[in-house]
Order: sequence, then C-alpha cells, then structure tokens
Amino acid sequence: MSMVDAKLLWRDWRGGQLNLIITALVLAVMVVTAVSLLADRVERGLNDQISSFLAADLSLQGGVAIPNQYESQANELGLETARVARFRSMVFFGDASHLASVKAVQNTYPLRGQMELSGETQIERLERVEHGPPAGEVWVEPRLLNLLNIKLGDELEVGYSKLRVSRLISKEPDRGSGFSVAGARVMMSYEDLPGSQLVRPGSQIFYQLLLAGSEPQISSFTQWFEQADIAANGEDGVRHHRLQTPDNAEERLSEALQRGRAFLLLSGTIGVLLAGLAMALASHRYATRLTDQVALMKAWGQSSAAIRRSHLMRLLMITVSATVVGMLLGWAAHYLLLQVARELFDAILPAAGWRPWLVAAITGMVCVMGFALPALWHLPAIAPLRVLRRDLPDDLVSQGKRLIIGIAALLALTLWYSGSVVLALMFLSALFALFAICAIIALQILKLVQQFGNWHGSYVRLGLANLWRRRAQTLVQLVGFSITLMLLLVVVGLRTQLIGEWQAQLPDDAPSHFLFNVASDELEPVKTLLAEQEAQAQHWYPMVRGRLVGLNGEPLTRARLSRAGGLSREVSLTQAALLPEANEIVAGQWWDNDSQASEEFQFSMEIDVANELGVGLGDVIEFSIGGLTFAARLTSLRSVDWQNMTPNFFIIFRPGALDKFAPNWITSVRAKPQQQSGPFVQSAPFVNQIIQQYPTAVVIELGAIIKQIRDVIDRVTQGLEMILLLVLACGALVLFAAIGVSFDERLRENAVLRTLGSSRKIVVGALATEFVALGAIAGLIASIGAEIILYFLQLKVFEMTPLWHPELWILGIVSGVVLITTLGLLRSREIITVPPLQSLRQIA
Amino acid sequence: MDQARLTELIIRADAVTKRVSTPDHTLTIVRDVSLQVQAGQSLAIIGPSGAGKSTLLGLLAGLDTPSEGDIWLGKHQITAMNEEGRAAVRAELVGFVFQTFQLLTSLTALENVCLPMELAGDNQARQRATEYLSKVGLAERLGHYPKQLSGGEQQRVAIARAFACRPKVLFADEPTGNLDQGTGQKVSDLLFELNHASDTTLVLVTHEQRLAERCDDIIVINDGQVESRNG
Repeated sequence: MSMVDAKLLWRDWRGGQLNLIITALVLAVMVVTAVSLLADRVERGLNDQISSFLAADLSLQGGVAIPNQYESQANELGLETARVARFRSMVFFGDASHLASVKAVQNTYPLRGQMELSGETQIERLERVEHGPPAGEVWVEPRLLNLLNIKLGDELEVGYSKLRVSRLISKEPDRGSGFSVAGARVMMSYEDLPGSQLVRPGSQIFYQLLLAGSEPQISSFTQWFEQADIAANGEDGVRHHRLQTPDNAEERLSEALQRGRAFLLLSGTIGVLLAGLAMALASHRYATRLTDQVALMKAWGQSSAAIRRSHLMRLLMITVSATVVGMLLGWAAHYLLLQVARELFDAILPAAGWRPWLVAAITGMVCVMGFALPALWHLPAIAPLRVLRRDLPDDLVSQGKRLIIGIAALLALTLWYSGSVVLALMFLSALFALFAICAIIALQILKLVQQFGNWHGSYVRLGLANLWRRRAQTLVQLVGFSITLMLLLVVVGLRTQLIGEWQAQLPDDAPSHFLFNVASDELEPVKTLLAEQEAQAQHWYPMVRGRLVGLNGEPLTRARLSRAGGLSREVSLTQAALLPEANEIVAGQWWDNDSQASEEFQFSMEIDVANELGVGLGDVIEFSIGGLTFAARLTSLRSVDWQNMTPNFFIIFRPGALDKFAPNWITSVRAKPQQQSGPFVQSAPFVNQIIQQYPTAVVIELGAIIKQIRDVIDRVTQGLEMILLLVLACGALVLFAAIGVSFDERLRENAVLRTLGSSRKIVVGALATEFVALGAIAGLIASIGAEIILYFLQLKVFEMTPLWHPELWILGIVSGVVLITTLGLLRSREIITVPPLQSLRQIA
Repeated sequence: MDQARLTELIIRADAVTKRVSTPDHTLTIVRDVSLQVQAGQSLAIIGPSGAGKSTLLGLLAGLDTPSEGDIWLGKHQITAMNEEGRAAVRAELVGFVFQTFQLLTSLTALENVCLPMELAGDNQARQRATEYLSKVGLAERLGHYPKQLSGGEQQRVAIARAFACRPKVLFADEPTGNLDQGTGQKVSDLLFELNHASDTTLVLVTHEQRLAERCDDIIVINDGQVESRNG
C-alpha cells in the first residue's frame, strides 16, 4: 500500500464520501458479530450442559419409585449407581418461604461431571466436589439466601426436617435446559428424604437411578432392562420407567436452539441485507463522484492497472478498519444483550470460539465484494476523454448485474450462516417474496397517494410528485423500512399479547393460589384452616398419576400414544361428580349422579387429545395406576378453557373409579388480596400456616408466577428489540443512502426552485411531505404485515383467540412518520440551508 | 524528413480523421487534418462551436484514437499504441487545463495541485505545489476548497496544477471559456507567462480571437477540416 493510496482514502473520508459506506459496513459486521457471538456462547453453554446433562452415562427414570431389582442388577454388572429424587416443595425459614426445586441425592452423586460449590457468595472461591451433601445438610442456590433472607449455617425447614444450609451451589452438572424459571435449587441428602415425609402416596416426584460405567457395562444393562421391562409389562405394555441417554437430552434442547438460531439468522441476514443495500447505494454515489477523478488521473497518464490497484487497496483499508470497528462494537452489543438476559442463564456462559469472529470478518469482506466493489469495478475502464467530453457514458456496471452480484453475495452469506443450501435458498426466497409483496403494496399505495396530491396545495403536490418520480428509490426505502418496522411491531405485539391479554382474560374473581399435594388425612384440617382464614377454596379434586395402556382390549402402542402429546407420559387423573367450570360437553353426556352406577367405570376426555389419540364415545380404555390396571368406558367429550386458572384435567372419571387409590388433593384458592413483600414470598396468612403445619403441601401463588413469566418475557423481548433496533439502524442507513443517491439532483432542483422565487417554506414543505408520506406508507405496510403475522402466531403457535391490535397500527404509523421525517430532514439539511448560488456552483 | 528536424517536432498529425457512429449514420468530426508543432511553440485551434476543435485536441493529446491517420507525440507514435502505452506517454509529456477547471471538490487547492505529482511519485510534490500556487498568486489560499474559490481562482489553481508537473506539452481546452473578460484576460496572461518561463509547448482550443492571436500559430477548423492556417 502506498502513501498516495492512504492519502486519497483520507481525503475521501474527510470529504464525507465514505461515511455511509463505512457506517453500513460497520453496522453489518456489528449485527453479525453480536448475533453470532450470542448464538455461539449460548450454544456452547447448552452443549456443556448436555455433555454432562445426566451427571451419568445413563439414567433410568420415571414418576414411580425405582424398584430395588434394577439397582441390584446394575451393581451386579459393576456399574456405579446414584439415586436421585426431584420434586417441588415449599422450604421455610421463619415466616419466609419459597417454592423450591428440591433434589435429594445419594452421596455418590454426581457420577459424571462435578458440583461447583462456594462457601460464600463470591464465585471466585469455588470448590469442585464429586459427591452430594451429607445427611442433615442442604446445599442451595445463592439466590435462595436473598429470597428467604438467610445465611450459611441457618436451618431450613424442608418438609418435617430441619436441615442446615452448609454450601452454595454455583453449578451442578444436570441442571436441565439452562433456563431457571423454576424455583431455586435445594439439594439434600437422599438419607434425609424419609424423615422429611415429603414422599407420600400420590406425591409428584421424579425418580432417577443414575448409572455410570464402561460402554459394554452400559449396553449390557440397557439390553437387560429392555428385556426385563418387556417381560414385566409386555411389548406394548405400560412403562413406568425409561432410559435416558445424553443423546435424548440433546434432541429436546436442539429444537429450542434451532428456533433461536433461526430468529438470529433472520435478523442477522435482514441487517446485512439492509446494510448491503445502503452500501450499494452509497457506493454508486461514490463511484459517480470518482468518475471525474479517474478520468483526470487517466489523462495524467495513470494506467488502468494502477488505478484498479489503488482502488482495491483503498477498499481493503476500508474493509479491514470497518470490520475491526464493527467487531468491537458487535462484541459490546452482545455483552449488553447478555447483561439484559443474564438472569435467564444459570451460570456464566463459556467464552465464544473463533467462528463468530470468522463469520464477522467474512461478512465484512463479502459485503464489500458483493455490494461496494461492483459499483466501483468499472471505474478504471473510464475513458480519459471524459475530461473533455462529460457526455460520454460512464460504463459503470449495470444495476441489473449489480443486483445479481448482491443477491449472490447475500446467498453466500446465508449459506455460510446456516450451513444448509436448502435452508439458505428457502430463507432468501421467503425474504424476497416478502420484499416483493411489500413492494407491490407500496407501489399501489404510492399511486393512490400521488393522485391525492393532484388536488392539494403546491408543496404537497410537489412532494408527492417527487416520491412518484423517484419511485424506484422510494420503493427500496419503503421495503427496507416496512420490514424492519414490521418485525419490531411483531415483537412489541407479542409481548403485549402474551402478558397483557392473558392477564386481561383473568376474571376478577380468579383464584390467587393453587394448593396441591394435600394428603387425604390432611384434607379436612386444611379445609378448616382455609375457612378460618377467609380463603375460599373452590372444588377439591383427588389426583392420582396413571398411564393409558389399552384400547378396546388391544394394547395402546407407544407410537399411537405419542400422537396425543399430553397422554404419552403419566397423566394426572381425577374423578368428579359435577362438570368443572370452564368445561363444556361437546359430545356424549355427563353422568347422572342420581342414577345407579353401572358395573363398569365411566370417564370423560378432553376433545383435542381424544381426536389426537383417535378414540371416540363408547371406546373402552385400560388404565394403569401404580401397577394396577382397570378399564373404563368413554362416555363424554369435553372442551376445556385451559386459561381459566382452575385445576383442569384431560381425563375425569365418574366418582368411584379411583376410590381404591391413595390420591393427593388439589384445588384453587381465592384469598383476600394481601400486601406483597417480595416476588417469591407468599404473604397470604393461610399460606404460612399451611406450610408450617403441612410441610408436604405445595402452594403456588399465581401472581408471583405471572410476574415471573412476565420478567422472562420482558427480558427475552428486550433482547429481541435490541437486535431489531440494530436492524432498524441499518434501515435508517438505507434511507440516508437513498437520499444520497438523489442528493445532487435534489440540490439542483431546490436551488433552481429557490432561484425562481420559491420560498423556503415550499422547499421544506415539499421535502417534509415526501418524508411524512414515506413514513406513513412504511408504517402502514408494517402494521398490515405485523397484524397478519400476529394473527397466525396467535392462532397457530399460542392457540389464542386472535385479536386486533389498533395500538400497533398507531405505533407503526406514528413511529414511521417521526423516524423517517426526522432522519430525512436531517440528511437533507444541506439542501435546505445552503444558498442557491452555492448549490449551483457546487454542482457545476 | 531529416532526423534533426524530426527531433524538434513535438507534435505531428498526418491525415487524421475521426468518425463516430450514431444509430442512424456515421458522423465525421475531424476530417483529414495534418499539422506539426515545434517544441516550445504555441498553437491555437479556433473555430465555431461543434467544429471538432476539442475532438482534435483530445486526439493530439492521446486521450482518444483517430479512425484514420497517424499522430506522434514526442518520439512516440501514439496511434500505434494501446491505451496503457498512450497513458505512459501522457504521463511523460502532457499537461491539461480545462474549461470546467476539473478540480476535485473534496481536495484543497494545495492537494489538487499535489495530486498528479503524488501519483507520479514525486517526493517534492508539496513544495512544488506551494511554489506554483504562489506563482499564480494563491499563496494565501492553499487550504481553500474549490467551492470557496471564484471561477478565476479555480482556473489559476488548475494552471498551477498543470505547470507544476513540468509537462513538455500543455493542452488547454477553452481555458477562459467559463470566465468573464477581465478574469479571462488575467488567466491568459498567466498561462502565457508560465508557458514562456517553462519553455512548454502550448496547444489551446479557444473561441476567442484575441487569445488565439497570442499564439505562434493558429489553425481554423470548420466542419472538422482545417479551413485556414495562420502563423
């Protein structure tokens, strides 16, 4: 690189000719860096957890206690074992309580991976151990200290036991998906489980027998288990236990991960596309400006090769510096995003690998090659004669060719981001289809608007005519802005949808608490306690866990059960004399309680799962509860409003069917509103009393859950909005660049207008009309699009009744107008403020 | 033609014709022009608008190629060369002054003058540019941008730029065409003054009889042909 190239670059930069190209490049690289760093780190974090996801090589698990014969067989095969039980339970310190995720482990836990513990809250003093807590002690997540206002050494009430808080958990190998929306972890010794009396008939406990050993040992056990299971339950019989390998776990995670990655890919690509568009427009203007310079250089005897070398060197310098700046800003943006979302992740995420940086660097290079270089490519071929004859064609690469190169660059990038040809092609096709639809709508609206201008005053007509005259540029701006605004509106709309409307749908007399895991012998005293505290319990339902195992005498296959997602595992079963509120019979009849009960048991099923399973009225289904089986006839189908905040069931039996099983009881309670002292601290007086007197009962405060969900949604949408704001900045660049392309023309026109005596008011008025119309149209298209997307999301994804969002239309149009008018007038200030003579001389 | 005579010739055109094709027909812009210019001499090409003066200037300077005929610039037969070869000859021998000044708007006066020397790898570019801008009376305006200068001042910058490169031949296309009479007079004085001082060969295209008369030689072009010659 010669000094002359550096000087030329510096002078172009100083002259402001490179501002847009560089800004667009920086933004494109920044968006891609932020997005890929985020994706990479989250993915690595999750992968780390997957690799030790089970804290074992194999996990035998289910909702029923694991028989000793499985453990003896494992021991015989020489496998290491550890028993684990997980459940939710209230833990207590003085008057404070918290619904914790309790995990009871044998001392051999974890078999794979390590526990990271600390004695204090400081993370740097970590201690790694490969065993669980000793009897009499619990290890807890640090946030529990704040929630219950406790310190190490305090005694926590877990069920009927008092256990000393001895260590803080900063990491456990099998902490699930990494998102900790559930209660804080309390880890206790398996030995303390009986004393706590938390395990009772009907308690919802997830049992695991963790296994570790050599590969042959593991596969021998797997084979033995499959055979033993079939021998015990038949080929298609009920399975209360199943084996989980790290692979199963990965499958579940990857789905969520794919969805997240698709969103990031979408915003990243749209950002790059918009920035690329801005870069292409800015490069076109830059190339036009360079034409005279190149002709002059050639007249002075510079060879085409030397000029090409010089341009390539300058572009290289731009690429390298803009990419580095973009990467640094991208790092900062991803850091901010992680700060916003940090409470969603359990532990500190691992550092990113080299790939995001490579992706960013290549993005920078491909953007320059795809969007900037084509505009500049033919400059060295400009005839030196242009110094004398400015009417000679400038031979710049045609717009059509440049479009093709741009699309090819974008395709290459999408391919690189997604790693799949099909995905990249589908993705870009969808994107361009969206663009085309937007462009067609925009063109129609533009036509209408132009006619509207014909019967309006001078500057309105002038401004609208300008929009129509430069309609190619207008369309580019409209499409770019509409789509970015549309995505933002969808995110804003979703947030309102998920929280606001859900809450709005709750009736005023909605229950405030769920109360469950109440044993039969506790039921009457609990009822009395609630009555004393003026807390109204709604209907009490007995609940047992069971499986569906047969249909009309034939075994129900696993494949068939998996069609009805809700029934593929153990489900909660109940019996009731009256049809619960928010349930409606759609086929058959609810039982008449006065009539003599027939010999056979009867049950009612929720209509959707019945359809999924392919069963109808009159079918006989065989159920298995705790190893005992019985058959019942389907006599009615119900529709259920799942959002009504009362206990709901897929399957309800006619009273009598479940009498021989030990149930636990569930109800919803409406308590007098209380002053809340914290998000997780249930403050209604009955809550504390129930927990103290009946430690195995579980109380969930709905307000706290709604708040918790809202917090999570808020953080996720904040993250999405931050990414989309970056994309919007790219959209703003397109506006800047598009105005730049017509800048000289506008400068000349306005100079002529003002020379001919037009007032400044008319010039500013025409410009303002142009931008207001542009903003309003973009906002309108964005609102239409967002409404359509939200309609389908509500209908298909969230299964809600679709609602209109008038507030989004106002938000879309107003933000479009304000944003575009402000940016547009800002970019055009020179056109307005520079005296006409100076403008004319500048163009000459 | 003897060798000594040939070395004194800096420009020679033999039966040069330039035709351009339009969709409808072929247009002959320069028709069978032959001329010779001695080193250090000045030649004015005059004629009405559209006569082909600027096209002839472009051909002589090697900015364009004739349809027929040969042109020598110095010792080089530029009609036998490709664009790269002609570019090398222009770099060695030629300087330009244009009617529209052709200053780069994003560069200051000093940088505009420096640029061709910097591109040629001249280490003394800044010093020489300052010297020539002083010669044209713009020592106080080095840091000014073109839009901050009047038309006359801009053309003086362009003249400084042309002479600072010490060309053997200076081609000037209507150098006073965009200036009022008084300013035009001052600019042409400057042009001839520097031309004599630098011993440069000057070829200029002009409408103005008075400017043409200051040259050693004048050819009048009409309809692409040399109509008369005076010198």
